[in-house]
Amino acid sequence: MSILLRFNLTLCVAVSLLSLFTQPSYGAERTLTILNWSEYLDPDLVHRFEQKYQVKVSELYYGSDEQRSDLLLQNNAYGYDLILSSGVDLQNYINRGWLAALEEDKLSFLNQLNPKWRGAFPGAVQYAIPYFWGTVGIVYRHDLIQEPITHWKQLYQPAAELQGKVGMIDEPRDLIGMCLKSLGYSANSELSSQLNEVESVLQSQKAMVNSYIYMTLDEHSPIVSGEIVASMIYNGDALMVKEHSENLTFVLPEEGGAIWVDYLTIGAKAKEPELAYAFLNFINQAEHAAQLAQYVYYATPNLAAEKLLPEEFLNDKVIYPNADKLKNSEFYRPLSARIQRRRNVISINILP
Amino acid sequence: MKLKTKLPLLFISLVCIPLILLGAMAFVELKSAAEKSSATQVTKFLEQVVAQTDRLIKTAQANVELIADDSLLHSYMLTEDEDERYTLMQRPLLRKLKSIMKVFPQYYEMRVILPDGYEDLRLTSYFIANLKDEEEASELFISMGHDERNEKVQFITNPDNDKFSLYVSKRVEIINKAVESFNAAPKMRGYFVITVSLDALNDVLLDSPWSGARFIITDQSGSAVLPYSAKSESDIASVYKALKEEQESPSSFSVHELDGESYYHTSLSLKSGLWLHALLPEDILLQYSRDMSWLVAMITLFSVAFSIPLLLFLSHFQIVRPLNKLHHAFLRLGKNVELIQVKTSGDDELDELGKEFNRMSLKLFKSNEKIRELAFNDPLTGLPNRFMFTKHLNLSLESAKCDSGQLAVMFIDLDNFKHINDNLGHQSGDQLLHEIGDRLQRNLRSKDFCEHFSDSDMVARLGGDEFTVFLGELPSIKTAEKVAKRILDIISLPIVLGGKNYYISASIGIACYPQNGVTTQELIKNADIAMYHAKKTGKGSYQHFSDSLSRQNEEFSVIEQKMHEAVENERFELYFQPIVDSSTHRIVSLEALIRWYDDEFGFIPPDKFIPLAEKNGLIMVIGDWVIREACRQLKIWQDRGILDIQLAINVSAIQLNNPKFAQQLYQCITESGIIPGTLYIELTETTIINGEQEIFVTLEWLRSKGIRIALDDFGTGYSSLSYLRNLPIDILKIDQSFIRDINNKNNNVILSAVIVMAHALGFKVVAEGVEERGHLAFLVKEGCDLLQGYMFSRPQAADDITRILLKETKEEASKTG
Repeated sequence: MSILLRFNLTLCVAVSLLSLFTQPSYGAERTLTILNWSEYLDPDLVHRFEQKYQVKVSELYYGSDEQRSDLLLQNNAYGYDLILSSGVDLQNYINRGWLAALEEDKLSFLNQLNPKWRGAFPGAVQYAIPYFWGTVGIVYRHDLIQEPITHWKQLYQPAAELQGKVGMIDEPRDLIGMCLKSLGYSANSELSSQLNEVESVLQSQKAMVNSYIYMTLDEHSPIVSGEIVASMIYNGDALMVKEHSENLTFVLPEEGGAIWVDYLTIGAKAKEPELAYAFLNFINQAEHAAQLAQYVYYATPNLAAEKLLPEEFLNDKVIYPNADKLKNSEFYRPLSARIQRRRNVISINILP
Repeated sequence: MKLKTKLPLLFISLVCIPLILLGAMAFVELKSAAEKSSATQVTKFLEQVVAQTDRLIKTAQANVELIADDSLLHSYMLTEDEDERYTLMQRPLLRKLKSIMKVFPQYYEMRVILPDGYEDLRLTSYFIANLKDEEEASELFISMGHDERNEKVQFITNPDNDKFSLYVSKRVEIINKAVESFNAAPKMRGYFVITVSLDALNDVLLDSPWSGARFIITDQSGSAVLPYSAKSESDIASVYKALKEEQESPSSFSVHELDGESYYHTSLSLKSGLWLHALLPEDILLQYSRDMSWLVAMITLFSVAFSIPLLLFLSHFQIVRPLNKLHHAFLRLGKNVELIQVKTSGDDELDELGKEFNRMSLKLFKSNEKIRELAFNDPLTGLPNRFMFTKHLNLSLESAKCDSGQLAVMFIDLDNFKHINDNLGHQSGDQLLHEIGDRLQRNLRSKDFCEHFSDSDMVARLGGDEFTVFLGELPSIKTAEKVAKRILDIISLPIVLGGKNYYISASIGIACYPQNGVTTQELIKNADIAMYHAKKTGKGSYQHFSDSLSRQNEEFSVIEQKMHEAVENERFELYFQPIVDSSTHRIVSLEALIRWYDDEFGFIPPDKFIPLAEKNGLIMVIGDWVIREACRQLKIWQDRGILDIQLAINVSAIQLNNPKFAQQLYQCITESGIIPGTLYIELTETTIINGEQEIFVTLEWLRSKGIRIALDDFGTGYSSLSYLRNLPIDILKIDQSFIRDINNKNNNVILSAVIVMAHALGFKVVAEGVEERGHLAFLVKEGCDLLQGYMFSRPQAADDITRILLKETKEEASKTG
């Protein structure tokens, strides 16, 4: 779902914002502005789109769900044509008035989409197009640890050999949700007593965690160097970092994980809504969607594209886990306000 | 009283009395100042704490203000929907607040409280598990609710950690622009509160510079709230109660009896009914001033104790000792001849005096040196003079006598010095002497000069062209000879005078101790004799003094004595040797030769006693006698009718140099009544050549009076033919040695050349020592005018000569007559 590259995101965002506001004064060339994770769109496709429509595509990147919300809050989502959002945030964004309802007659590919993903989250059908789906699991160095990791518990209550070498994600839903899973509860639990347990587990884990910052995926990645030997990770990213080390194993733990779906939405205050529709149509052409999936190593909800994907890709258990593995996995659900507040306090206290 | 005592007494009284007075005054002043400063310091400290508290409050207020105006907080508080608020907005806000807490670690809690008292958000820097959700009835909320002010500062004990903390809160009042008009009155949406830790203040109170002092903050009720630990101290709880009553007159010190101890107390008002108290045990406050006065007393004592020896030391080394040194230097200057200098390093008056003394002493020393040099050295060559040499010799002899050593004295006399001096002038002569002195000095002092080298060796100039050399520690007589040879060598090297090379030789006489004399006088005299002998045997040579020389010398002295008697008694007699005409063989002139017959020694030849007479000056008397006697005899002959005979007398250089000589001679001739022109004089070549320029004048004068001049012994001296040309002479007498060796080598050729040349110059030529017929034939053939020799006649007494002359006159008369 996310690829956090090693560069200064704040700076990147600032520069991008500047370009966003200065755009209209250029006049002549039309620009499509997309708010997205970095490395989550094939540049080749972008280039071809630009050529075809004689426009410029400008991507703005965020590093976490929270940062995305923060950016949207700052200017009330003004100027973003396409916003990539996680499914669970859709309802809030809709309520906030940041997203525009889809005009279905402008979309030519809706029948190719797997209905399972189209309606996985409230508001998705009316406001969002599923982009990719995936899971969150654990990647570890099988050469550096004695016992293979099969459970979340091994990460949250780490054995001596892992202490100080664990990597976690500063994403409260994943951090707390998977902790609940490790204790045998639902990732969407609303019980205070269960959250209290989670809080104490996370507090005692804190001392053994190397970093809460999502690891880089290039050859300098801390898991490649061995500074981190086990980490929470999104499945496609695990495949990407594996290109740099043969000693990595990705596992979807026995307790099950979270299934996430990323959606593309059209901004309510978009400047180029027509271009946004054109882009959605473009990337959802079967061969384009297939190319994109192979670029990011994630599973596409586009059934027409799936047909074009090679056997090898389709049989990769990291991208397409077995059904029994997915049986215990859950989608994140919106939570009650008080529980969300409780989770906020728990997670903010964990961070250094 | 001596300066040595006076100075320290003066210094000590001058320094110590003011020092003690100063110390006493400082003691009193410092004591009160210390007490005052202690009180001031305590007050300062209290003010500092108050200021720090104020700063803490001000900073917190400013930060609360900033956060309360933050747009994120505003949109958070305006979001009514709880789902949105907590899902979307709370995390960014929490993050922001957390980053502020990282910058200000003293803000350990931040809260958002809704108007109804619900604690919407709380962020703590420490982890508190299972927080309560609602805080409707908290002390904090109640106090905020009742206060209408926008901002509030409160000091409350935090129930969560039981710490006395500062709470700064602000009402957040915003217009919701989305639903309300811009002119609408802002609505109160809640409170933002931060809790400030007072740990820093606590540390300051506990860490005061006075150990044993207490600094405490009390609240309205008079109970201690800070430092945290003060709360549990029940023992002095009553004190604070008592103090509370006195808070009306802050900042002044009062004394309280607490637990049997005296305390100074002062207090200052803090914010919100808080009071800051200082309690100092009397001991501590006074301890400082006591320490201070003790220190002053000690310093005074030490400075007195230290300055006395220091002053003694300084006056001794800076004044008394330099003065003593100068005094001693003056004493020594009076006594000694050595150079006296005192050490001066500084630039004070005493050093100036010392420098002045040094300058004076140096001048004195230099003048002494100069005097000594003049007294002991020869000014021309710089060599030691006769005085020095004799002194040195005396000393060396003393030591030689003790260790039976051997030593030598050399007497050096330059051979042709007079010639150079006359021809080139005195200046060149001086230059020559200087150069010779240098050479001797240089070579005698250099090791490679010869094997002999001794520190006691000395070269001296006795005067004129006479040098002496002293050789000490002599291994053998041979060594002295080697040295002599070398000296001859170096003297014979060319000398440049006026751009031309000149050659000079010397004669050396050597006398050794103890063989040739044991006293200084003997050695010098004998070396002189040996030198004289060397000169006689051939110039440019050296000669050892020997017994024969000694005997000869003794003989000379006897002869000398006899000569005096002889002069007095006119014991001399003139003999005459005829000189014949080469063609007629007739006697034309006679040479008068002196004869001395002594009763004891018998006949003494003139070549033995004439040089002696020349040396001791008797030659003048003898010469006079010869002239008178010759004139008398010639008169007798002329009276007897022998008129055509001429008479020659020998004149010594000494005589000729006498300026009155010519006059006397002429007078004598005139007075004797002889026919003018019949007496003539014979001079040796060297007499003329070595003589002064005046001699030529004398000779010319004599010739003008009809007294002819003959040059005697021609061929033994320079025999310079070109020189001959300028000589004011009439007759040339060729030395007998020439005639005797007439058949040798080229003598005959030279002889004929001399004759031819002499004739050409208008001289008559006389050949001396003609003894054989062969000589006669040659000489006649070559045209020699006159002949003298045994072949014709020996020198004969006057009577015999008279007979011969008369006989010849008769023969002549008969021939003609």
